[in-house]
Amino acid sequence: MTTQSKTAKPWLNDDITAASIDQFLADPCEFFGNSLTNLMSLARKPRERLQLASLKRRFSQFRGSLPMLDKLADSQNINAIEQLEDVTPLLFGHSVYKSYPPSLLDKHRYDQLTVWLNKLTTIDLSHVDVSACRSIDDWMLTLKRETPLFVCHTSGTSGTMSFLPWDSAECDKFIGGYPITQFQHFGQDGPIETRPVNIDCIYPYFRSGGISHAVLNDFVIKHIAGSEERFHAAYPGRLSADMMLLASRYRAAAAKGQLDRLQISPELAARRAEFEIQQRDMPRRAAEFFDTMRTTLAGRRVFIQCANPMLTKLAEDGLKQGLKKIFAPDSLIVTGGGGKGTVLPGNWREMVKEFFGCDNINNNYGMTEGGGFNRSCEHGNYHILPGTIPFILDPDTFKPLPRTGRATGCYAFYDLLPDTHWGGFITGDYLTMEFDAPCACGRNAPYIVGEVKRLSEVRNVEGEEKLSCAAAPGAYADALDYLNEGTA
Amino acid sequence: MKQFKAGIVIRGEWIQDHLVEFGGRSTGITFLSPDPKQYLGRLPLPTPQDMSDLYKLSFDDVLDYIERLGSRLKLSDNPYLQEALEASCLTSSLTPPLLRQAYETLPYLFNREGAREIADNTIGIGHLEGWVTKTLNDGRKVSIRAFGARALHIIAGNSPAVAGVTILRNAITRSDAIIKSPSNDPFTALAIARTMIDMDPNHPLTRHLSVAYWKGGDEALEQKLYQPRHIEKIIAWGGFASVKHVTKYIQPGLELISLDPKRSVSIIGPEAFADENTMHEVALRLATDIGAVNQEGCICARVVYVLSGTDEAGLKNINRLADLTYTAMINLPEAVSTTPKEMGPELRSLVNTARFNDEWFHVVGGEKDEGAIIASQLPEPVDFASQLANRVANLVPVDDIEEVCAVVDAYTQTVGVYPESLKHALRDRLALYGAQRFTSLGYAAYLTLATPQDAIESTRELCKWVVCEDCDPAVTPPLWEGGEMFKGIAG
Repeated sequence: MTTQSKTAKPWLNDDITAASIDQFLADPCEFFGNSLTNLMSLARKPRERLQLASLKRRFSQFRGSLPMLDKLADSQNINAIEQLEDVTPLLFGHSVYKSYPPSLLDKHRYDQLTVWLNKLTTIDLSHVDVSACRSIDDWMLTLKRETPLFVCHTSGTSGTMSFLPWDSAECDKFIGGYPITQFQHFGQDGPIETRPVNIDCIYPYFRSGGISHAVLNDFVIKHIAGSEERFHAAYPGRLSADMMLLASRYRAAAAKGQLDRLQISPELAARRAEFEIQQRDMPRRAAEFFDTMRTTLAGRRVFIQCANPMLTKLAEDGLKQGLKKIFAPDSLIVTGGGGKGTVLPGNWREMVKEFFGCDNINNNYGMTEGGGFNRSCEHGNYHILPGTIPFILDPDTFKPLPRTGRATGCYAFYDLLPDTHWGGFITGDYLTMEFDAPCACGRNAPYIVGEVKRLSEVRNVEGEEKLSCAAAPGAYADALDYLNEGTA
Repeated sequence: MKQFKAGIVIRGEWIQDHLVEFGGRSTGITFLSPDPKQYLGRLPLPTPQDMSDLYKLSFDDVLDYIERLGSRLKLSDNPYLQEALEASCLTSSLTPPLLRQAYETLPYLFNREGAREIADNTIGIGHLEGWVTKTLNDGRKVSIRAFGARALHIIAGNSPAVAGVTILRNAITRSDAIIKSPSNDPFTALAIARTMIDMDPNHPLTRHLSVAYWKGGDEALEQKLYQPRHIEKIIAWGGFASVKHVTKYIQPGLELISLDPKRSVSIIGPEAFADENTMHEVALRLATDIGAVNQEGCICARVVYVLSGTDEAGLKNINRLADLTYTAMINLPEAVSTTPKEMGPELRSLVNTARFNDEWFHVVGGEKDEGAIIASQLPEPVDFASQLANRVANLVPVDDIEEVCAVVDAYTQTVGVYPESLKHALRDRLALYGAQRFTSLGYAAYLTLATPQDAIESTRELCKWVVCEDCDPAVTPPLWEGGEMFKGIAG
């Protein structure tokens, strides 16, 4: 049972004790008395005092124990953090999480890939025997089984996947905080949700997999659904990382007219039947999924978390079938991810409301690489959670712009939540952050103003557009076609 | 900061009013230039008939003009070029010494014998000078002449030479050119055009060149100008977005000559490791292919395949070659290569990340943004191969030449090869994969204009190839008498 603290307010203390930092880093929601209002009301000075103390803690914790950070810090001779900006030269670029030679995957050198990943996490992977792994799926499942890691992957059009060394504690903090960060309304001290919330959760894609949402499904079950039975995924299996990678390579090769040079490993070819069955069953599964919503779940309070285009597609498909307002009005929709390369219809929000029958649509700004899921207020501004230290970098130099007033540039952050990997990251997003002026919503936290663009878009250069999970189904089908063609 | 003022040149007239501001942070300067909308109606040639003055010139007259112009393009004497250099130092990705060198070499481009060779090799002076007549097997006499066209040139700005080459080709082909200046070089074409006006304002070659700046993608303007009634050909240089953007205006009567964005590779055979001297020579040649014009050209090597083998000895060799290449690159003459102007934080981060993964990459240099040589320790290029720039190159060890064929594609312009025998062995195969130019290692950036470019005959394509036939019914049986088409072609 979650309790809301009304008395002690350690976040306001001038002197931040080691114990307060421990408590904040272990569970920021608990630290703020399990109150979203408290979480988002901390004035700038005490907030940054807390963040700086926590950042120093993270730096001393990881310096000397995380080889990739050490190399970066050594190369710049950085041995201490005195102010928040000091961390900016140590933020990881997106390339860090995909800095392994791609051929390791083709050649099944998962031993070397594990050694590489171990430079990015303090969790000891040296004992894990991955010698029998013959696919990315194998490797990820082995790590999940043998260690606290919940490795998460992304996929780029270059044909290389990033691997993020998430761990279970981090995912617990993230989704475990949802009853506060997503279910509560700012400024309203309403009833506190229990943890788990024990409501039905729906997910219009695969039950499991290595993409961020699929990884988090385990934790949605733990903290929100309360049981596997209350979690309803459209497709029961696992979204194969190997197939996603093939899909992304297929697209890259097709774009360059080099499909003749694309090679498929015999192991992946051997799984053709498995993927075919999965693909063939998708329409039937989707129909069953809608049946479940229409019958079993109708009128119930539900929770759904998925990327925006997928959510809109679900609503569109449901409305086409005549399904309207099928869930209880106190249901909760957690989404984000913007258009992700697809253009959302102007009335997506209305369609979603019409289908689900609820007004609680939390639009969030976040990414696989961390930085929290930062909810948009009623004025359309994404407010940054106190567990994340935001920076705006000059796009030409990656030097930090002053954290005062409004700054526009490349978004970067340090995410204080992860206990076993470095939380500093430079995103590919270009946006405007307001550091000082209060938002009319009353939250006291820096916020993103206006549209989030891709830096590459702003610079009008090609490349580095992400093949996101939202666009994956089409690519998956293309890849399956190719797999059939190549092995028939 | 100095306020630069550009102008518009319209067929011998220099105009500098209705000034509005262009440029900005991404351009490096802001500059004033006439509002192109005010002059849009005057940019196209009113009627094709107006090109007839060009045909009163002999080819020797054209060469005379080119030679005179060349003598006026000395940087030290030409204030327009001096201003262009000053502006380019702010707008260009090239550093001042490289820009200065590029401007210093402009007079060579406008050399009489050089121009004659370009014309003769790429088109044929006979076809430019008049009708070239031949009798065909079926008895008809055909005469073919290369006429100039009304062309719009959307030029690249990575080197001032591009503006020079465009003006030279326009003169050789007796065409009418509208040059849209690029934001990274808004002044060079103008400077040459103004020099032409000072030299001979009423000369037909002066009066068939217009130069203007507008923001690329200005649809209101481009939609009106890019019409077959105004222009016959659009020559679009580099930049995926720019070429892609232009394609939407292409329609019957308006042809696109696309000089697409390209990349270049080098291939080095095992002979490079024969002895220490050879290795030093290969390193110097390779450093030149990588470092010349600070790797800003499509001709510069970025990924380099080395047939060193991938065993321990092979890796030792390639790492040594990387060390030597880096040293040679750093020591290239200042007029050829310098520390790049701006490495950019993303590339810096990519190079550093490779450095931190030292079991897979041997990274030499790059700590001061001066350029770096990354030797892969596995037979595959870095994941960011498409982003290699600013004197950052990737040497990739391979065991077999087959591995190299797999990476050559339609984007591959130049392939610099060592030794010569390997080049001759590879050229037929790699041409099929898309490679467009093979040259001796070290000569990738040493260009000639007297050849096709990007596997197309771009200078030749600037012309309209017009045919005139003389058919005598006594010799060529006519259709009206039941003559059968094509029957005569066997002779």
